[in-house]
Amino acid sequence: MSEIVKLENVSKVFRRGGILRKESVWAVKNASLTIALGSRIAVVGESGSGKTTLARIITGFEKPSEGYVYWFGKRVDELPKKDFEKLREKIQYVHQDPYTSLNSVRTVYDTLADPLRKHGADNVEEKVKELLRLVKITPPEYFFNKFPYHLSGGMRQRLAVARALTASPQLIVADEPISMVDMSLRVSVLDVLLGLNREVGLAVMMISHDIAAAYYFAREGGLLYVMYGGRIIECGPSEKVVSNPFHPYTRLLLLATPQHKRSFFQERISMMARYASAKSGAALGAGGGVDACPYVARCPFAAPECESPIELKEIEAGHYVACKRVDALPEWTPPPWYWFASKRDVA
Amino acid sequence: MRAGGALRTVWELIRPILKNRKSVCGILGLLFFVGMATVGPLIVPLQIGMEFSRRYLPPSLEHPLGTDYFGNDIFQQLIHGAPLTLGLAAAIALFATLIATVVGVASGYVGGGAGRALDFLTNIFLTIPSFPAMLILFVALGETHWLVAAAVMALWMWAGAAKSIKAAVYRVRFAPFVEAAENLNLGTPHILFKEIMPHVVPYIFINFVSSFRAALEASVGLMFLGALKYNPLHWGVILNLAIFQTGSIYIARAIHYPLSIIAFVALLLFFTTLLSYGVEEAFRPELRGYE
Amino acid sequence: MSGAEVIVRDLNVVYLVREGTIKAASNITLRVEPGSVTALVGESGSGKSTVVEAVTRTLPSNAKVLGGSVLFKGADLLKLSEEEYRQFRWREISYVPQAAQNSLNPLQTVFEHFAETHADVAGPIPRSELYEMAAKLLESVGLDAGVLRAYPHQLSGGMKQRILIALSFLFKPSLVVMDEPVSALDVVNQSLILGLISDLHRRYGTSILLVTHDLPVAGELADRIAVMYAGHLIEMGSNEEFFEEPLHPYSNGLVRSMIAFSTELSGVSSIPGEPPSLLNPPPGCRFHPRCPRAMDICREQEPPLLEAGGGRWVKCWLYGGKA
Repeated sequence: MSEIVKLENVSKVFRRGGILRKESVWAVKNASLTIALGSRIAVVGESGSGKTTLARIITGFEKPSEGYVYWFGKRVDELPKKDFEKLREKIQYVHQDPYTSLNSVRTVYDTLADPLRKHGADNVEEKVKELLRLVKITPPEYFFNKFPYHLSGGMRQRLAVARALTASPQLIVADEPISMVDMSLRVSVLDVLLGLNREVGLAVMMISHDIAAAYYFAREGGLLYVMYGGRIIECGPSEKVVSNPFHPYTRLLLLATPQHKRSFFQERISMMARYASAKSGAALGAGGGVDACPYVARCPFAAPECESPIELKEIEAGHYVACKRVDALPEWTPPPWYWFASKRDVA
Repeated sequence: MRAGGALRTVWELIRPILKNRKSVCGILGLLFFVGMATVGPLIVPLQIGMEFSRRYLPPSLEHPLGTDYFGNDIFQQLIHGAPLTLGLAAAIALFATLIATVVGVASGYVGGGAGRALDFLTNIFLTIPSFPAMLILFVALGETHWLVAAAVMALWMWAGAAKSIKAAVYRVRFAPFVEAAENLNLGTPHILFKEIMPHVVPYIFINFVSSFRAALEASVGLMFLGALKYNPLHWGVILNLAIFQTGSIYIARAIHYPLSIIAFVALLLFFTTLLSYGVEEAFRPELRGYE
Repeated sequence: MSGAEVIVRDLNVVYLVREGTIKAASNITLRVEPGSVTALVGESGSGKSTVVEAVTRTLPSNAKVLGGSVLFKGADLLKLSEEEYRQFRWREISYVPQAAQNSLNPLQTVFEHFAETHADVAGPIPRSELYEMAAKLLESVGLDAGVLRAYPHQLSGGMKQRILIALSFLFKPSLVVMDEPVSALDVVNQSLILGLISDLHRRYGTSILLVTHDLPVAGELADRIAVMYAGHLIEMGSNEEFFEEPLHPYSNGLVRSMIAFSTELSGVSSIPGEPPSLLNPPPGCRFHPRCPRAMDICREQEPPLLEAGGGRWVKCWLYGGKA
């Protein structure tokens, strides 16, 4: 079984409201994806795009309203409780906020020792040291008696990853692992995740709102998924999606990501303006029906055909996009501030 | 490492209390009263007689609080009444906190229909006025063993604490670290006792202390009104004697009699309140004004 | 209207907590040149918000200014009485605080916010006059005048931020202080607001002190960049020179840790170690435990702020200053 998780046309709706008026929010709609052993995937989207709900469906914390979730080939909704628990251990979810994902009254040692003991490890102290070294919290013994409030955000996040590793999982889903971590410490968190993928062979899925970080994580062999309004609107090898984006939202996202060169600032803003309509500053639009493209309210290229359901179509090898107006978009050249601007094809 | 870990967790919970000025003050004051209740009766002899010539003597070295209507030393009566007064209040608080913890933790953790049923039960006991209810029950029960009396009183004191404890459980029940524990299949006992309870214990403690205070007030009041079984050394009874039976509040030179009893009760309540404020501050840093 | 100069000299601010004192800002000296955008960059615990709060006199009650001065328009802002400072607030200096979207009063319409602010500073004026003023300001931040009738909960985060920026320009001050103006927004809105700030700066020529933890944001907007670490100001210089060659080892590490499309991503790296506690900061240079080039003197003595030529300043023993 080379597939850890498979999502088949999964949708999740949240209904709110009282007796008279009910509101439905489709947090995720028609999402299908496969996570293979040892793979690396980054999922990018703004808040409200459904990326966290997707992550929680993958890890079993939410049940889909439609569609099926498969773990190691088995249908999750058909699993008896014991099997569900056994398999769930192998798919670990690492929360976004390292300040609440660790119990403030448990020491670093206890945080790792508890699950290790539960899974029948014999030399617990040795294993705790090993795990701490793996996530670069060294020297391990120094940290045994420390509480989470002694650690920085980056360290806490790495400790949360170490905790996830105690169950020897096959997949780790890290939800915004660096958004609450200082910039100078972010790479260390991402490198720990990359190391687990490249050296230990763990499958890692990273959720982020920062497409540059997502690209950094998924480059050289990983996949990049872009989500908007609950749908996967573009996906493919990281380099292809970033150097040759087809969906107008992906392009907007890439142009909106700050870079540091002042000389390019005005150019970046004016390039962005081409993909941002007057409504782009507005919150996630409610425009269009449930089956329309979710981006229709903000898209400067929207046309009547965008009101009908969208589908992911392969536009080049391994690269899929869900947009009916791809042909109407202007030609794309990598923005001049991109460090690989001189290279056309980076894959 | 395991036992050390548990002890350390407990120590980490207690340490903030010992560092807080208010709670240390409260503890020291209460220690005096504990000493009064435990060691006092062994040191100070009880001599109850009737020597009217020594009636209403003002406070002096021989009689630190003066003498009462019968010429008996007030201080020795208070000391000998302390074990019952404090013991009763402590027993009530213990029972009440026990019930509150069980109900509060269950309804906070379990949720669903059972949780709602427990909430409903809590609300019933919360809305029925406790003092009149106690009064009626005691009048109906007549004379009972003091532990039974304590249980009856505790029945009307657990509801508020249960709500507070339930809220504390509820707050962490859905915390990410609890989800992570579920992800790792650490099991309900572990999650309940090792992950959730340490966050709830401060609230249990605070509620115990305020229950003690409320129990003291209630038992003194009930004794004062004659609802509880008569014991001449209970502070409530002494107070009743002082005010109603001997009319000492109408006599200028006898005012030390009721005042000294009231002062002691007030002091005890003061130190208990101080301790509970201190504990609350220790576990909720945002309440500290001087930081 | 044009921007004024601000000189912060030897500013020392501590916070009093039960465990001791937190040395949040020590010996801070920096200059905001007239009409420039100066970015004050720092990560969590760097003390940048403390410096800004000292300048705008919004420090919390347990903060103590131990010394130093903030010279602005011929006055030392720290020494003014509350009454005297009120003359400056909104008129000469305006402040857009962090997570400013939460500082709008949910019970007042946008127009009422303008009215109240104006009345507080310069007394009330006829409604029609104020309406015109407010509408023009809103237009300059890309909002329709109809927004004046709205309540904060009806507006998106981006719109609220624009309103606060508009409010900060109500009296066309010579200095606008912005603390993390875009960090609470999604990336598209971030860029739109940054563009807006750049436009307003060009239009009014006001001095802007922009506080941010996001180095790329500083890079795109600022004329000058000042970097803080663990309560110290460790480097200051012009934008392009800073990125071309960061002098201080911390600045260097920070620039190399940027994950942006404008940097060679195979070369990014983190700074090893963790930022220090400000309760008991390390002796000497506060960065020395993490510095790849630390020398003996770094562990013992705090380096002075040294001039490194061409308007660049760095607080590091590598650049001279040894006795």
